[in-house]
Amino acid sequence: LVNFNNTKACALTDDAAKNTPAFRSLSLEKSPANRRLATFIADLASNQSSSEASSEFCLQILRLIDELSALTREIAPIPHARFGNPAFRDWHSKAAEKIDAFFPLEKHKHLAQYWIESLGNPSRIDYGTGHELSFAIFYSCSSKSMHYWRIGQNVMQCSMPIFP
Amino acid sequence: VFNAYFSLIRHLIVAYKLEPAGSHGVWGLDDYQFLPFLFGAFQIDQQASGIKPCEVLTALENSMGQNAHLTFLQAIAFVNRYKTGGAFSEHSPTLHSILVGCSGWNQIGLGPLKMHRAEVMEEFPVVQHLKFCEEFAFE
Repeated sequence: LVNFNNTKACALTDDAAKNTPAFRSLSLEKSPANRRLATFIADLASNQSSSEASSEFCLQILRLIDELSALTREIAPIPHARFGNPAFRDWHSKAAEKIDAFFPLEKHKHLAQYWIESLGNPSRIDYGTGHELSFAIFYSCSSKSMHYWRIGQNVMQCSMPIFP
Repeated sequence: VFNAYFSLIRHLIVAYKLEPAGSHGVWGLDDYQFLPFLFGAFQIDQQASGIKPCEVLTALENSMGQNAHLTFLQAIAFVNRYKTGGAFSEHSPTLHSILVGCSGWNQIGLGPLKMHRAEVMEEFPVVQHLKFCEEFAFE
């Protein structure tokens, strides 16, 4: 995975300029990554009528999400803490291990990274739309790597399974 | 898959009381999530389930019944459960005004679609940590 600072756009610009938020926002706005994500989200939005998880890949993701959810019962919140319960850090590291193991091949480890990022920040114990965005990136990139799962089905079909 | 993810996150928020990151407070749709409202509105629009935007808040007070699977309603129900200080219109005025003021779900979905571009993908604090890869290439 490449950090913003290591992209070509930064290599061509002097240090002072590239550290301004304006430069970063503008160059991200123009990037193929941004277009790709915008298209992906718009596509998902217009394909909300199908209601079943159709591929093995999706079923596997759903199973792991179930496991992650069950993990919260094993790692109980520490009593008396207010916002930001420190037990989240334990949960997060266990969850990260499980997700990492979900992608055994080295060439798919970056997908695990996106998924792990989407679970919130363990040091700040917070969650926001940036993390949510990371899940969309994970899913969008996974769909590109779908051949790995030997499933050629339309990814859009499994965007919104009915989940009791 | 997304719905399962949204549920997991809501579960985490309650279990570990996660702080909202980069929230717009009462000016945003919600402190934590955005996509459930976006996808959820289009889901209702495309499934033609029959529930009207203005009926959502009354549906919350009764049991949601056949609407319980809807992404949008799950997200609203979570906001309603989690924020206990005052009426819905007080803690979530933006959502409230959308629900009261819009007649169609398509209209409700288009708003967040534009908002998502402006407030998430073009917002520096949100996207500054993004990383890029082959499939998600920066250039």
